[in-house]
Amino acid sequence: MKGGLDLNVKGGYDCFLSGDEDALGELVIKHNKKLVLYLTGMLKSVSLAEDAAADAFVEILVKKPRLKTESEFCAYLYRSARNNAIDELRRRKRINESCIEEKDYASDKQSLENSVLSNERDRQLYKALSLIKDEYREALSLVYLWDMSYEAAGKIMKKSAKQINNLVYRGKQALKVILEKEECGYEVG
Amino acid sequence: MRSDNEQLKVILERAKQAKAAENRRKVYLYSALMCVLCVIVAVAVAVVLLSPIDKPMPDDDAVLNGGNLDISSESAESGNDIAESDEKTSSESDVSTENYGEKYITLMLSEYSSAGIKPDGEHLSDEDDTLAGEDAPASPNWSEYPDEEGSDEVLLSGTSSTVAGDEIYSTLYYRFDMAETYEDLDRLWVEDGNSPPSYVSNLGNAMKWMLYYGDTSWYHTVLYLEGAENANQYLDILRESGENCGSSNYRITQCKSFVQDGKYMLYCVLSAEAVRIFAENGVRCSYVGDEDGFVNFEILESADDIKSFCQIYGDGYTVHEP
Repeated sequence: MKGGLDLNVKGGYDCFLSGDEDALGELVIKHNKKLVLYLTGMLKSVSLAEDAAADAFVEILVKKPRLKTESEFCAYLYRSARNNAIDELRRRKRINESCIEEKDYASDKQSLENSVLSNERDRQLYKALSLIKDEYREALSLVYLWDMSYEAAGKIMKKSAKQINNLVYRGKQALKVILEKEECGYEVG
Repeated sequence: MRSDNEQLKVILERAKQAKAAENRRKVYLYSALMCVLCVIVAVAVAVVLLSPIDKPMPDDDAVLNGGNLDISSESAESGNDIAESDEKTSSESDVSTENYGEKYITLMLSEYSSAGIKPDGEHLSDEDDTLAGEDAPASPNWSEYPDEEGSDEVLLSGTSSTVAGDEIYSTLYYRFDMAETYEDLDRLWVEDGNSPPSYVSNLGNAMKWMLYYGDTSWYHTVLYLEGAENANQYLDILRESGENCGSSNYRITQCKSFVQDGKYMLYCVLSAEAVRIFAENGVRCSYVGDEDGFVNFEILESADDIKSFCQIYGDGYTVHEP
């Protein structure tokens, strides 16, 4: 099921580290929407997800960590963004802001899905992922939609590759039950 | 929802703010660090400046409180004036020569006897301790010696003196102190009148200073005798001192004699105690060595040499001029 998403950053981040300002724009164009969509699943808000993603880019821009491979860059970016999202969730929980009413949330999310998920099959899968447990959804989306390895997904979620493997397996079982109930005929695995 | 360009602008704006915040944080950090360093340096400087400095002159208060003196309130008042005179001009000095001398004589003698230390810095032996005890000869009362007319003793008050004691002291101490540093500069005679005021007048000025500082084991001394007819008397004193060679206090290592203008002169290398004995017996003692305690024997081959070197009635301690 791999494919569909292009996470190739080879050359982009190296150019950025060497001082090429335009390289940052390329990196943002490549990763911003995917990252926002990933964070939207956690935050249930497109605008907050955009802020968290922007902060993750800012962190890379300011700290300029030495990342050798594209896998390391993606892991760093997604993990930083995920931490920002978790901080935002904690902040909302602290101020009892449990429900964010966003007027254009549905349309924005739909627009985001359409731009990131290129085919109908991935969009169906993404919708089905929103019905399962967050942990399963996150692992499945990173591995199958974002085309990451178990190790990279483990770095983002602060888990080992074996734990990601287990989460993916359980997630697929839960997803299978849901898809069978909906009789959508979507094959899992 | 933001477009990619809008998101890029947001990222760049936030990065700019983050960098500015980072720079401000660094500035605050460096400022705090510099403040800490400044405080440390200031404390270190304060500690250095406020640390006690060894004063070469004895403290007047210490002398007055030491119990060695039985002076009147008027004398104590005079002593206080001496301490205060460090901050005053020479015209403000109001110290009587007699009281001033008594104080320092008592200090010197009590220091040497109580600490078991000779003026030259050596410790007294057991025999010396006996001498310093009850069987020891009583310390001479230097003040009982009458001041000679035209004496080189410093008068610190009244109209007979034109030089203030503290000024003399600072000048001489400066010269002595600088002599240790500057070795190649011209030498000066210790002027008559520049001497510690605590010794009897028949000691030369340089000899007084040497005894005062006690920094030389042996004192190259010219003994001026009053007349040839009294030579035997002084030779007896010398011989008697020489017989006490068991006590290093009275040791005499070298001696030459001359007769000049009817005056009998001896050039000797004496210990401080031997100098004290001769002075106690009225012999005029002048120092002819340099600040290191050495003397050029070649220039003391004749009475004329000694005369020119010591200028007969002065002594020839040479110091370097800074």
